[in-house]
Amino acid sequence: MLYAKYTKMRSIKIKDKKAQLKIQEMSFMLVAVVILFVLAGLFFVNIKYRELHKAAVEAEKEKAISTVIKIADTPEFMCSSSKSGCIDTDKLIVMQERQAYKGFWPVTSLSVRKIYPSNDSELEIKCTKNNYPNCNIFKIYGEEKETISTFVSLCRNEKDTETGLMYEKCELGKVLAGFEPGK
Amino acid sequence: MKRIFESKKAFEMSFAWIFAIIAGAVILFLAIYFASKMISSERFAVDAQTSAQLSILLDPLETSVEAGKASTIRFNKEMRIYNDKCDVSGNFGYQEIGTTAQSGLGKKWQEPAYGKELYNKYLFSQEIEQGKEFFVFSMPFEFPFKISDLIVFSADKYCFLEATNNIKEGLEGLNLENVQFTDSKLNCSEGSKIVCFKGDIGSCDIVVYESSVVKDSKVLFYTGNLVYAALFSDAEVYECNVKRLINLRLVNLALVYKDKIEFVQQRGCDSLLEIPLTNLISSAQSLNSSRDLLALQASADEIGKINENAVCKIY
Repeated sequence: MLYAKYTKMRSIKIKDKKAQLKIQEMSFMLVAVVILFVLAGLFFVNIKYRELHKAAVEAEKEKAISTVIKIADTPEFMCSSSKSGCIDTDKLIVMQERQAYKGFWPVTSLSVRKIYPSNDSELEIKCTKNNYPNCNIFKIYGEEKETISTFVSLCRNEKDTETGLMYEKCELGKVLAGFEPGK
Repeated sequence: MKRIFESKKAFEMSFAWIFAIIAGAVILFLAIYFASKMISSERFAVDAQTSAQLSILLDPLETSVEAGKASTIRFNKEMRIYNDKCDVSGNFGYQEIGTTAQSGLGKKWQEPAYGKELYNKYLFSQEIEQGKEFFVFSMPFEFPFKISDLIVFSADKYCFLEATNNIKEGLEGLNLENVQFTDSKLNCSEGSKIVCFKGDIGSCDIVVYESSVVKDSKVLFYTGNLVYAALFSDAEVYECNVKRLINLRLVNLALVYKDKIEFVQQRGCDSLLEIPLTNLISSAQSLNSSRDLLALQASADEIGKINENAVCKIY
């Protein structure tokens, strides 16, 4: 009788252990599944983030390109003769001091360089009211990092020393627009 | 009932089964939940990209020497473009353009995703434009010097009844597919908005007068090419952009020209524009609505005449 009771209890204990083992198996399995899902999710999120970042960089670059192409025709820079792709350098000197325009165009920096005729020393001379027009860089705003550029004509009204008549003197320049990838 | 519990043949559900069912249900629920969340955020990301690309697509529409430019933007899905965020704060004010695409999954139209603030663009349209094709055109706005380009976009069809020659010439040259010119209402295509200029204005959606446009019982005053902006846009969008153009952009540009005068005078090039420009700036700063445009016109005309006759043209 006692032996029978003992064997019954022992078989229950064995069953208990088996059940415990199954629960443990199941929970390990669940933990593994969760980890697998989390890893797969992280992998997916990482790929998506990279794709989005790439698209954002491309969009920034495209925006800088489309801005730089059209910037010479904006009223703030365009020549009084209304020629396309022509920048009035008198306006550039004024625009350098106008802080209100910082961030107005969707580019992080904006500057204009005179390319031709170049000065003898080929030094970079920032234009100010005092040295203009004997200079070659107009910095409108921001610091140049990665830039997109396009060629433009840089024109200003000059007085002919012989005839005393006004004429438009033009030189070759380059507009540089900066963009920060992923900004 | 008792029998069922006592019956040896009854189905016994082991713990493993119960656990598997609960865990499976939780996993399924989470999978469905995250999948729907992911679809929604993916849609939002696509909409945000569309909004960003839209602003890039509008750049080539900026005019230089042209009287206007036009283009059509086509989407492969029904789209909504939101032009309901316009602000006059800061140095130039800004607009934000939002887009959302129609979808068969989840909500038909989800909340729009907005692109970055556009400080240098003036977009005129209704607050929500819906369609697969959007007709876009731009016109320069001069007052008296060029201030900016007015970019107008619309998905609706318009029927212009007995339009004035100025407007007809201005729009016909752009070959807009959504604008029809006719002399009789009967010729107007179905569903188009009727724009009247004279005669019976009873069943007209928009009425154009010499210096104002009346739509949705609101009066929008205009000068020059602003008439096109007034015709195609909502009153709120129009008034906000007029303030951005006059209160902010015109004032900043006039200040640039004033500084330029000071600068060119040192090179022996005198200009009589300094005082008129100062007057224009103070009048422009006090503009409250498009109604005040008419009061500014005289100052603008004066500057235009002086500059035209000047040896040294400031603009």
